[in-house]
Amino acid sequence: MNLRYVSIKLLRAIFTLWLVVSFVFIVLRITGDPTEQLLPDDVGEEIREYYRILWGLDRPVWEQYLLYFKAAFQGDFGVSFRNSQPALDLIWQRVPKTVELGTATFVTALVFGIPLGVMAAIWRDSWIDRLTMSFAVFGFSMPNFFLGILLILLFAMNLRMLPSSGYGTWEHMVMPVFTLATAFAGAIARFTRSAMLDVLSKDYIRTAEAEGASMSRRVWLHAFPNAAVPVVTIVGFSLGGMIGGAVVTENVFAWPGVGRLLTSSVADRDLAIVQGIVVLVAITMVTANFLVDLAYGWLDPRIRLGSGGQSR
Amino acid sequence: MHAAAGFVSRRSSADVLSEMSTLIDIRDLTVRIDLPEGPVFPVRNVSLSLEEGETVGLVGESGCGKTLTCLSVIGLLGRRASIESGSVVFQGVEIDPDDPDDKRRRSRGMGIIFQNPMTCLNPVRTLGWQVAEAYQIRTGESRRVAQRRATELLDLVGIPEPKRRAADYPHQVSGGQQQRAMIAMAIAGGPALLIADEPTTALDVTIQAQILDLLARLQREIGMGILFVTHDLGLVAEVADRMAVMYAGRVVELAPADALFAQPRHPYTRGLLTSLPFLDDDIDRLTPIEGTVPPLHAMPPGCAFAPRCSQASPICSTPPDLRASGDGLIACHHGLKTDTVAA
Repeated sequence: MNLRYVSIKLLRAIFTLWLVVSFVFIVLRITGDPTEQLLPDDVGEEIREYYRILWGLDRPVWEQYLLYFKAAFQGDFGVSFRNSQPALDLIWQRVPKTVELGTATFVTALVFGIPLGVMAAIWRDSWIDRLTMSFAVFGFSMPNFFLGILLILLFAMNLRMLPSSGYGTWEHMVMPVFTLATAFAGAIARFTRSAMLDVLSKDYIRTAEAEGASMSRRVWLHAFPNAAVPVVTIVGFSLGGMIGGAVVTENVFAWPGVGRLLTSSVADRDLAIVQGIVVLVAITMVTANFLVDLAYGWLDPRIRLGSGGQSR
Repeated sequence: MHAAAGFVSRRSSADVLSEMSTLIDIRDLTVRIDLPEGPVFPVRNVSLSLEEGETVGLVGESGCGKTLTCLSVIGLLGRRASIESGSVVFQGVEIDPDDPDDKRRRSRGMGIIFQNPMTCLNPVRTLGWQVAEAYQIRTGESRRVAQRRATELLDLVGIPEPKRRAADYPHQVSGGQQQRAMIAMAIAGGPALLIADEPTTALDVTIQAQILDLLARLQREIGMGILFVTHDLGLVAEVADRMAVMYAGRVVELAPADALFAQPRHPYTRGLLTSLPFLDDDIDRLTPIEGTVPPLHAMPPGCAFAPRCSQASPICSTPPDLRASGDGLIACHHGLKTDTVAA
């Protein structure tokens, strides 16, 4: 893993971040006046003008843009239009709850998705393969909000086993995590299966078999490390989908995380909050992709050490 | 080698008495592959044996069934191919392909190397790891012992600086070194039989010679039997004690290597030899064998070589058995005539 490789990735990550923030900034400014949403309909034009000046909306967009970046570099992401609290604080309060949901989902999806995909590949065309693939298709073709509502109907309304919404106990987590993890686990299972099918047909797996390596040895010590690169790729990519899913799921289950804050802030045109969340999501995504790139090198010595001849 | 010696002593005394020195005995082996068009039999009634410490060259064109024969010996046919009939007797005991004990016996007693070492080595594991694993599985030794032994094995197969190379990944070393590492894996734990399936085909000519020398040296030092599979008659001439020539799934000639090269008896073997360039030969042109190998799903009922054979006669429409001819065996109705023609 050389410095050049890392710095190129880092520069690209920063560029992506800038692109996302700029796009969102401009789109938010040109799609409507926040004072229309936030102030009562009957307030006078002077009051609206007062708030526009207070929030800096009277300046040209390019000036707002430069000022925003200048402040952002000093850690100031503006104040909420709704209650004048710093945007960063408001977002930061919500982050742990979303991270909690996300981590639980991530772990659940990996714990189910990878073994299912591996088993489907080993026993290709068996009932376990068909079952896993049906589950995978179900998982990522079922919209989150729909699956969430179905779960609420079944487990909260009919069976009365789980709370329908809210935050607090582990029981509150079951349905949101299941809702989010289904699609994620389905995608992981599918990609694990195809990557494993590819690797299991390689000559080196036959070599391992010839020397008497057991099935589990061949699968986990020989095949899986080779299949891990495509699996890690899809895990990285799926993170974006998971963040999107989290926004919907948090709303369905009234989970007090960043996702709910985002929807309410968009509805109210609370620009500072929306922008702050977008920056946060973009940083998360960019970091995830960066980690995926690093993971490639860690997983595959051909990437880590480069190819070609005797290198030492 | 100790492990090999341990192997012999584990057999019952009756086996030892009856099959003292036969390492592997392939008896009337037929391999079946199910294709959408119906089953085909790429290996048909192959019988071949190999003594302890002996090198048998198995030659034939691509697709003649020599690789499938090897894979059925070591039990790597995979799910598409299966043994239709016949058996493989290893060290005097018939192998039951479905018995896990026999699977272990086979993986401990046999090693195999293939044509393309690059694809046969795991790209994400170091050479040392892979050799150590092979040793560990075959001997049941601890990881630490296996790692030390792996370095010794890499040294034994002629890899310079084995300690450092043990930490290299396959893509970091040359094709010749990769094949040496494959050989180290195959002989780790001292199997009694080494199957070498086209071990030098993917390598440069100079490296080919080095690998051949290495195999010959290892055989002298370790005393294992080698089944050397190749399409290159000239190559195998240097290493084999006996030769088996396969054509279209059958063994057509089996003879001591000297005898086969001095006086090939089967028309196909003769065709193979005249299509080979020998440096000391005084000929301007090589003579290719006319025609092509019949496809698997349209094998003629009799001798499969008859359509390409200059000596073919009506009797060739019945399948020839392997019969004694000179020092060896041939499957040809015109065997006796061969002598006069060749002389």
